[in-house]
Order: sequence, then C-alpha cells, then structure tokens
Amino acid sequence: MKSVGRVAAVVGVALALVAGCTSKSSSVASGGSLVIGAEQEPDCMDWVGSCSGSSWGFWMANITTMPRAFNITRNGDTYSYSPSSLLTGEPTLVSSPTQTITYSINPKAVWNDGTPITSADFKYTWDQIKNGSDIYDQTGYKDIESVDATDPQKAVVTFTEGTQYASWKGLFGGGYGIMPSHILEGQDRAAVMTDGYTFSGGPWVIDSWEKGVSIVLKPNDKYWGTKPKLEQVTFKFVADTTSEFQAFKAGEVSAIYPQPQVDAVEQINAGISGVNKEISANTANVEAMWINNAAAPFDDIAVREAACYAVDRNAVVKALFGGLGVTEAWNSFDPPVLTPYTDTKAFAGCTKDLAKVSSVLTAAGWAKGSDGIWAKDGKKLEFTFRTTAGNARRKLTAETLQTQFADAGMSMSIDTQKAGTLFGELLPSGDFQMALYAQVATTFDPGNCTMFCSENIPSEANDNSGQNWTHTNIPAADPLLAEVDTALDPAARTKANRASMALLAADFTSIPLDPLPNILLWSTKIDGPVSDNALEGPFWNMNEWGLKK
Amino acid sequence: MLRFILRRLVYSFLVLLVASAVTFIGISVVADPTARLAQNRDPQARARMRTELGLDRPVISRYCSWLASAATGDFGRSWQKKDSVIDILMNAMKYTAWLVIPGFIIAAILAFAIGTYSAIRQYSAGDYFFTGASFVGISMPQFWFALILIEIFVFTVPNMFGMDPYFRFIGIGDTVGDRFKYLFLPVCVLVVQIVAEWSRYHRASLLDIMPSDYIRSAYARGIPKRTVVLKHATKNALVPLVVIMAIDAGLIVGGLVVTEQVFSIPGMGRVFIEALEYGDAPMLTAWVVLTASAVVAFNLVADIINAALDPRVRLA
Repeated sequence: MKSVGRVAAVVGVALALVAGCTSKSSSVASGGSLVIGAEQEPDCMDWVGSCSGSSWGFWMANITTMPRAFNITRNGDTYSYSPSSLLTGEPTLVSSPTQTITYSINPKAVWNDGTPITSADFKYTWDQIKNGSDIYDQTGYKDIESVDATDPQKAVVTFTEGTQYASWKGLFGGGYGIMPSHILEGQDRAAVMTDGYTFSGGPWVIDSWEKGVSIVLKPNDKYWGTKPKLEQVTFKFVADTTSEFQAFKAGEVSAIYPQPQVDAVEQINAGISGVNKEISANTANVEAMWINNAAAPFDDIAVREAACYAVDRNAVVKALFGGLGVTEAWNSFDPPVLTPYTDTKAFAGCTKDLAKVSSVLTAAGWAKGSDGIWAKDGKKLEFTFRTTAGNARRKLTAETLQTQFADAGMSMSIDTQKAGTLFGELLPSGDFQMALYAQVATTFDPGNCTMFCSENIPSEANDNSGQNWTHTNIPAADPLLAEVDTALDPAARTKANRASMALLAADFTSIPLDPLPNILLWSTKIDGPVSDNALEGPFWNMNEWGLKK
Repeated sequence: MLRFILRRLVYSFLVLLVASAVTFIGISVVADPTARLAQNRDPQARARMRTELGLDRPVISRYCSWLASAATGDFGRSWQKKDSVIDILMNAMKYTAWLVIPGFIIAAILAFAIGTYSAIRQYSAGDYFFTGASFVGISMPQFWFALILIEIFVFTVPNMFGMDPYFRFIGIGDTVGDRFKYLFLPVCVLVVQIVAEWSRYHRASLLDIMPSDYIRSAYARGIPKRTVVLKHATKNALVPLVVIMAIDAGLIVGGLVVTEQVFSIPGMGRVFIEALEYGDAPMLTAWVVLTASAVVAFNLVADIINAALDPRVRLA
C-alpha cells in the first residue's frame, strides 16, 4: 500500500511538473504582431548558392521556413542534435561496408501547399548541392554516392565507398534545409529562391521581403508542429548599432540581437529599463590570437610559448566584456557550444607570468636589450598584429595586448585591414605574424583539420585554397584531426578531438582569447520561451512566442 | 545652344567612360568579392565562385565585357545580391527620392527666405542669428545631429508630455500615409545641412547686387523696396544659387550616406557602401556611372538655367 502511495505521489509530482512545463507555452496568447530589429540583411535566399552564408538570413528566414532532418537543441547550457519533427525518430546509421543513413519521414510533414515532404525532396536537395553550380559549401554532400527515393517515406543516403562523414547529422539541415522537389525540379533553383520564396516546410512562411527594408513572416497554416501564435513577425533592417538601441528603447522594435561591440556593451551598461536580456558566453564563436607558425619570430616555439605567458587574457576579456558579466578567457579552439567534444582547459596554462617568459626565452637563446626588448642573433622580438579595420572592440583588444606584450619585452605594432583584404589576401598568403579574428561554428560538430592539418597549409598541392593559415605542422596531430572528421563513433571522435587539442596547446600554435558573447534583448511585452540558441539563432522557437495581454 | 549641348554630351560621354573604367578596374584590384568565402569549410568554394564570376579572366577583359553589355543597356547582375544592377539602383533611387525631393523643396524655400532676409536686414539681430545658425549647420556632423533630433523628438518631448513618440526613425514606413512620421527627422537633417550652405550663397549674392546701379535707379524711381528686391534683385541673385542647387542635386542622386545609415533608409548611399565593402564591381561601376551622369546632367541644366536667367550669358 505504501509503495502504491509512493508511486501515486511520484506520478502526481510528475504530472504537476509536466503541467507546469507545458503551461507556459500553452498560456501564451495568440494574435498580434511583432517587429524585430535585424542588423544585417541576407544577400539572397538561395540558401545553397554562393550568395548565402548570412547568419541573419539563416536566423530570420531559413530556420523558420526550411524543414530539416535534425535540430540543434539547447537544454540549459548544453546543446545536442535531435531529430526534428520531420522525422519519425533517429535515422538508422550503418557504418560498413559503406556509410548509409536511412531517414524515416513523418507522414504528417507537408509543405505549405499541402504536398507531403518526401524522400524525393532529400534527393533533389543532395543533387542540387553536389551537382549544381555556384554552390556555397559542398562539404559532406559531395561524398554521397546516391539518395534512394524509391519509398517516399524513406530516404536512403549512401556514401561513396571508402569515405566516412562524421558530421552527417548536419546534412539535410544545417545552413541549407531541405528544398521542395515538386516546386523546384526542372526550374532554375537560384532564380526561384534568390529574392525569397513562397514555399515553406517550417512554422512560418515568407510573406514579403522588401529589399533594404524588412522581411515579413506569417504563420504556415499547414505546419504539422506547434503553429505560431503571432499573426505576423516583421524583421526591420537597422543599419546602425546606435540607432538600433534607440529604436529598441523607443519601442520601434521589440527585440534586438546586437553584436558585442563596445558601444553595444556601453548601451547595456547604461541600463535599458523594461527589457529582458540574455547574455551568453556559451556561443559558437572563438576569437583568438592566430599565430603564423612559419613566420619569424613565431617560427620559434619558444616565442609562441613566451607569448602565451606574456598576456593576461582574463584581464583582456574583462576589459572587453566585463560589463556583460563575461570575465574569463576561453581555452580551446573549439567554441563553448562544443564543450562536450573538447578540452575546455587546453590553454588554461596560458596565464600571465613574466618570470616564465624570461626563462623560456633565455633558454632559447634570447636576451633582453638595453631598450627592454628581447633579441636574438641581432633581431629584436617584434611583430605586427593584424586585425579588421573599423571594429572598435578589436582595436581596443589590440591596444590592450600591445601594452601587455610591451611589459613582457615584446614589441608589437598594430595594423588594421579591411576584412576583405585580411581574409582574402593577407591570411591565406601567410602575410601576417599574429592576427585577431573569430572562427564561428555553424554546426554542432567538432573538426579542426581544415584549420590545423598540415595538408591544408596553403600550397600548390591544394591550389593555395588550404585554410591552415597558421601553418601549423604537428605530424602527431594530423591523424587525430582527420579522425575527428571521419569517426562515426561519437566517443572516438571526442577522444581524438581532445587529444588533438592537447597537442595544439602543447605546440602553442595560437592562443584562444574569448567566446564573443551573444546578446539578446527583448521587450517585456513578449511572452513565451524566448532564448538564444547559439547555433540556430534567437528565433529558433519563435512559433511559441506571443504577446502579453 | 544645341551645339553647346551636343559638345557637352560628347565630353560627358568621355567622362563617364573614364569614370567607369577607373571604378571597375580600381575596385577589381583592391577588393576580392570571394574573400568572404575564405573561412568557408569547403576549400573549393572560393575557386568555384571565382570561376562563376569570371574572376579568372584579366581585369581589362572583364571591363571590356562589362562595357559591351552596358552599351546595350544591360549593366549586369550584382555579384553580391544576384539581382539586376539596374533594378537595385532604381529601387534605391526610389528611397533616396523620398528623402531628397521634399528635403530639396523645403531647403530651397527656406534658403531663399533666409538668404533674402539676411541680405536686406544685414547686420540685424536676425541676420546675426541666421549667420550663426548657418555656421552651426554647416559644421555640425550629420550623424551627431541625427541622433540629437532622435533624442529630442522621440524621447525628450514625448516623455515631457507622457505620450508615445509620434516620429519614427527606422525606414520610411510601410504606407504612403506613414511617410511623414518616418521622414520628418531625416528630412530635417538634410534641410538643416543644405539650408545652411544655400542661404549663405543667396545672402552673399544679393548683397553683391543690392549696391548695383540698376537697383539704385529702381529705388530712385520710387519702386517699393519689396518689388525692387523680389523682382529686380532676386532674378540676378538667383543665378549662383540655382547653379549650386543644380550641382548639389547631381551629387545627392548618389545618396546621403550618413543620413541613410542612421535612419536605415535603403537608398543610393547604402547601395554604394554595401557594394564598396563587398567589392561588387558591376554594382559599384553602375552606381558611379549613374551618379556621374546625374552630376553632368544637372550641371548642364544649371548652365541652361543660368543662360535663361542672365541674358548676358551666351552658351556656345
């Protein structure tokens, strides 16, 4: 009897919890419209075309209208892949003799014209990305040999023999989504989608896109999941950060997602009344001091190690983002969202210690000159620090680092360049010694081979398209980095990633700095579970938002 | 007159040719539109885009292709937005026109009134006030002035009266009926800036003319001061003002970069900045051709108006 009572109590508590959890969403009122400030406008909405790649475009119009196999869901501070409502459950993965994935499609899933979403849509999407022209990113799709669409409810994806693609959960989703074959087959996909499209397999439909002005979304009445509560959402493009905050304060827009620039931090610190905010350091970004390991003076590992001890990274992060409550440097080349896969303490040893700077450099044959600058073989320890022009935060970072390096006997000069010149010419050609910029993860997958495998050092062998701009060359790390991209077993992948990160840290190949916090501000009149998703953006669950009565 | 116009058109054609070549080749040399793909995880993405845009061909060859198309009226597609360059420019021009046309009309009326008042009441308190205000208007950064206006009209005044702000400042509104509340502040920024300049020109011009013999004769014949100023003096004094207005009109076709940025108006200024940042050679070159054409055309108009207002001017 006692146990029956306990069970009843447990069931009662569980029911209460379920009711509590669900009541928030169900109590959100329907109706009303919302205006949100958007800092950037996408160049186009042909998500697979080379004009794609806009974060704001993805957050506003892709994630809200394109069906996808997997969502990247946030549970508290942790992220994970979970099958979307498009699928009936986790796909079946067969790893040998060839990697094969079978997706079972939810029979309730339909496009907004009522046509079922089928395996033909998977096949069309793959074919366009693999064989189409002017494609933004073919990674993964080019390794697929075939997509069997015999059964409309089952898409069977088979990879080319001998290839394994560990990040397969990012396929048929990610920055692309799945495209409707019944509308696009035989059409010029780019022409149909570039200026916005009328189809949808998500909770929202693009009602209009007035270039330079706004994107308007309306509910997709045929959506099989949770239908939007709001009648309309308008994203207004706001070109200037100061105006963006003014517009938010004046109620002209009800939510903003500004970049963590100096003026944005100042505005938040100055206080904005009557708003909710979420400031998160658990982001998909890593900003680092990227070092050219092949260029003097950093071709000497002792100098790289000394640089690691020369800088108080926590002080820099505190100066930049202390006002947002972010005070600790990040210690991995994987961003914080990939914490389950990475070693988050890999660079924790890089703390300011001028005695260590002295001992490391002295042991390597460097000596301090009368001007207080280290020198070896008649050459001073001086270098140029390159970063993007027109970015007040990066300028402040560079100036703070310059002072710290000077205290450690290293002469650093600052050179700012247009982003196009820095990323398009100087970094790929190795014309830098140290540079400050961010790497941004777009999927919930580790993988640093592109950036650190020796085969990806720009060279004639890879048509100079390799992205190992730091010229990292650690033979022991290469197989581990490659394994991260191919291991289908998550545990093996994690182990290889952590081991490779330890080797990168031991080589001081570069120095991670900060996670570039995300800032989401929204009016208190918005009801519902508003939260930032570092990978899918702040509007991922906008269908559950409403307005307070 | 016809010969003058034809000769100016030939010169203008050469100017446009040189401007387009300098812009196309210059932007192609200093900016790489594929740079944004440098961090793409697909290492072949840049190479594919280079091929797609024809960047593997020499820049002169690319310019010649562009020129051949432009000669047929096809200015190509924007590398950034993939849309027709002409469509983008026409759309942007529409927004700039919403800002510039009312601004120009209001500024012309105010500049005429203030310039005339300051000239006929030289060294009066009002003249000193408008002179001081003009210097403030000319020297005030547009960005700062725009933010001050927003602060006053959107926050301070409504807060004083416990009202919701009437004026808006993001975009130009969804309907024609919204235009006033969205355009009031940016038009104010434009008006203050150009009235300050134009009123000084008009004042100086009138002051030059007022001591003339024919004005003194008019007074001597007992013609009322109002008629002397508005009928006799103004006709000649308007010449420099009209010329400067025409030149400014040509320049403003290129958009008001700062004002459009602060007020999020997707006009010609925004198009220019975006194309420049991206390295969008077809877009930028067409923009330069359009704005240069406008400057040339308005200069021509200024010369013709000048000749019409001042019979001493002969176009040859």
